[in-house]
Amino acid sequence: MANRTPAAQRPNGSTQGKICQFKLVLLGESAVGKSSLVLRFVKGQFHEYQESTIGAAFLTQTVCLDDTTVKFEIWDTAGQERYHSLAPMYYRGAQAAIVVYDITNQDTFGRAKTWVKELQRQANPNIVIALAGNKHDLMNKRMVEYEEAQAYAEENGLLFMETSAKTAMNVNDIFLAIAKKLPKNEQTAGPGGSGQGRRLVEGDTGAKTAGNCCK
Amino acid sequence: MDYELPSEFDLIVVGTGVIESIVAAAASRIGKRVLHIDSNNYYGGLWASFNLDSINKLVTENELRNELDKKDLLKENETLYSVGNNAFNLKIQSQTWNLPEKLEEQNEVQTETVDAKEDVDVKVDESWTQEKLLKLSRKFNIDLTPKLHFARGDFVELLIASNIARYSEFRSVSRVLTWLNGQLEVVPCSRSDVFSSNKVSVIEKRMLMKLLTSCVDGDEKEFAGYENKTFQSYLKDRKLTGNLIHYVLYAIAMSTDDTMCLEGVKNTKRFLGSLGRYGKTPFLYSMYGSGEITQAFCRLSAVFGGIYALNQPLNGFIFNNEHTFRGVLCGQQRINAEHLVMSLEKVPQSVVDFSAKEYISRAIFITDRSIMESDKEHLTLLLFPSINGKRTCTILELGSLTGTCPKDLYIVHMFTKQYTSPEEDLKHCVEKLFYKQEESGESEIILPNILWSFYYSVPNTFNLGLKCEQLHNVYMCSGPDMDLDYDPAIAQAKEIFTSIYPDFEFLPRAPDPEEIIIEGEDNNNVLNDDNNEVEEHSDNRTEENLQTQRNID
Repeated sequence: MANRTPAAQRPNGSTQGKICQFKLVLLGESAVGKSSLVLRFVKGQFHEYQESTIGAAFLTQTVCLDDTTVKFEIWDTAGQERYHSLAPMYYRGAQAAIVVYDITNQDTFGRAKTWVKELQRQANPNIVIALAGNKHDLMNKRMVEYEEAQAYAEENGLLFMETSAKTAMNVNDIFLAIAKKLPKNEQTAGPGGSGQGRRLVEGDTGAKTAGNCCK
Repeated sequence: MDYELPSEFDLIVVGTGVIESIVAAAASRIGKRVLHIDSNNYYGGLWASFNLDSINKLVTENELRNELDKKDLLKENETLYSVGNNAFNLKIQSQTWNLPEKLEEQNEVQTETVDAKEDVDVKVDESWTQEKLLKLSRKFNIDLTPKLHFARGDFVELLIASNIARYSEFRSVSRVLTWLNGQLEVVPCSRSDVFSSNKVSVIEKRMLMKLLTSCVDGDEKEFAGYENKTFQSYLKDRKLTGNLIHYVLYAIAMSTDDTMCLEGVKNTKRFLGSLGRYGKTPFLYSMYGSGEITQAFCRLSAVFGGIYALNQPLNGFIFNNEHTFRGVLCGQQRINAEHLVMSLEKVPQSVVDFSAKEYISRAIFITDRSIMESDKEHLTLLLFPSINGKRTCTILELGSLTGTCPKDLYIVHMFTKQYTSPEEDLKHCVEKLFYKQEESGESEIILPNILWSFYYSVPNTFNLGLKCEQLHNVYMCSGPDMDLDYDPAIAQAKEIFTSIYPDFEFLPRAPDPEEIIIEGEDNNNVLNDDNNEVEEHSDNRTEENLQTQRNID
């Protein structure tokens, strides 16, 4: 994958310099808008009646920070969370996670906390976690207070924003905030971090692609 | 269950072993509605990897269920079969800690000095305790069925061709060892290995290169007259020295003295053909354990609409009077499907009339240093030859870089065909490779200590005729086999898939993210050819719109 030129260079256009690639996983209860957030971020779109996205549970998007291009390899749950069957493979080597809840549904906030705990237990200890209170456009049906979520995020060292995939509010911002917080050089990856293993690519003769900076 | 599952599918797959998962992925990939369930709360069945805590609590008996009070969910002319049998279970022989549960308080003070470690004393490093290892439980991914992958083998090619490769990371096996003249020796695999080896003389180097070349390029003439002779006799006739015969026969060809010439040549080709693609040896290992592989196929299935539910209380299989599969009873729910694919251990007891005749003896060890210390961490394959009447044995040593154990520890997997019991079958290797408490004899080599050991046997179900004549639309998947790679598993999965869906391609390349067109999207920012683009309508999934364009880069 590292050999591939990204097809679309949005939102900040292409640039020279360091390219860093990160695996980012999405977590959260069904129907909180995980796929919608990614779709808004990657394709700039929103569908009111978005169904589970067939074949598209793995997207990439790049953002540019000064001289560094951060390429996100975004993993969607592909619906495997629905019957509590998310595979441990999903978290492997993830350097960032967005845990999503729906601000109009208190239960999804509770579930989000469970996911955060799960990440703290299972994932790379240096993982950057962002909490996204989605569906901000439905503010009049709000059930989870901003302050409550913010306090929780602060306690647990999470980035926090309320977002709306529908209006695009804070969508790019949350990804950008994560990109800023991620370590941009190999030294900071630390042991036990991302896999640093070998990815098998068509026609590959064995170039090593690390989960981290490859250039 | 929090939610009810949908109740109509094309295919229900029961069990998440490798073969089941490949079939599930292939069926979802062509747009079939797949339900994939497992009664376990983890992926992989007998092919799974476990952390240290869970492997210590491994349950080997199937819970046989048959709740006949659900009869109201059956139609007239339908019969309910119970789920599962205990004919193919894993058998645990022993599970042993060679460590104190926890440190006595005084001990802790005594061992505080770091210098104690540097001592030539070969006693167990006192800083390790059961408690300490169990605290690191999650850093372990211990395979029940460890596998390596030939760099140009069927598995790697399938993973790349189907685009499943992006879900997994691999590490190259960094050395292949053999046991020669009473010690471990590195097998020179590649041309550069052969030439840089100081164990092989210049003349031997030429002989070896010539032989390897003729094994790869040799036509029928080369092996004429050897059809009924052993590979060993061929190597001897080629006037190879004893050491060279050893390297080629026992390591590169992974053969024994009895292996026939043509099979030896085939094995040599398989080995040499995978050299030079990734790393120094022909082999790869999947990071975080071989159990990741089933999960990668399951993920592909889910990405293409497959529904996943672990921890499912499966209560029975429903068949009509013609013994044709109708559906399953899952908890309180009836779920219908046209076809059923299941693990062998899920087959109803009443229709199981085969039992495993052959077993694989396996052992797993946690050790405190490598079997052959080096300045860097190695991922090692040791092919223990069959010498002096002892049987050949495959040994794999994994360090922390594979993501299967914590730093400073190693996991060693061993397996061989079962003759008596795992402990007995593997004893000759264990004695040579590891430190034994009883013999405190002086030795210049410090052998690894076994901190934890686990001996078990699994049925080798690959050569059973797995046809279930009396039931229709039902396919059975065998359990783990002896092959180093997944070749037999892939072959079986493909055969099952092709029997159910004869007109469809088996795992065509899945589109890359850049190629996916979301409904309503402006086509301009997506690479596309004329009419091959991938469209995306979740409610209109047909094989046409899942087609991908090839060679996009």
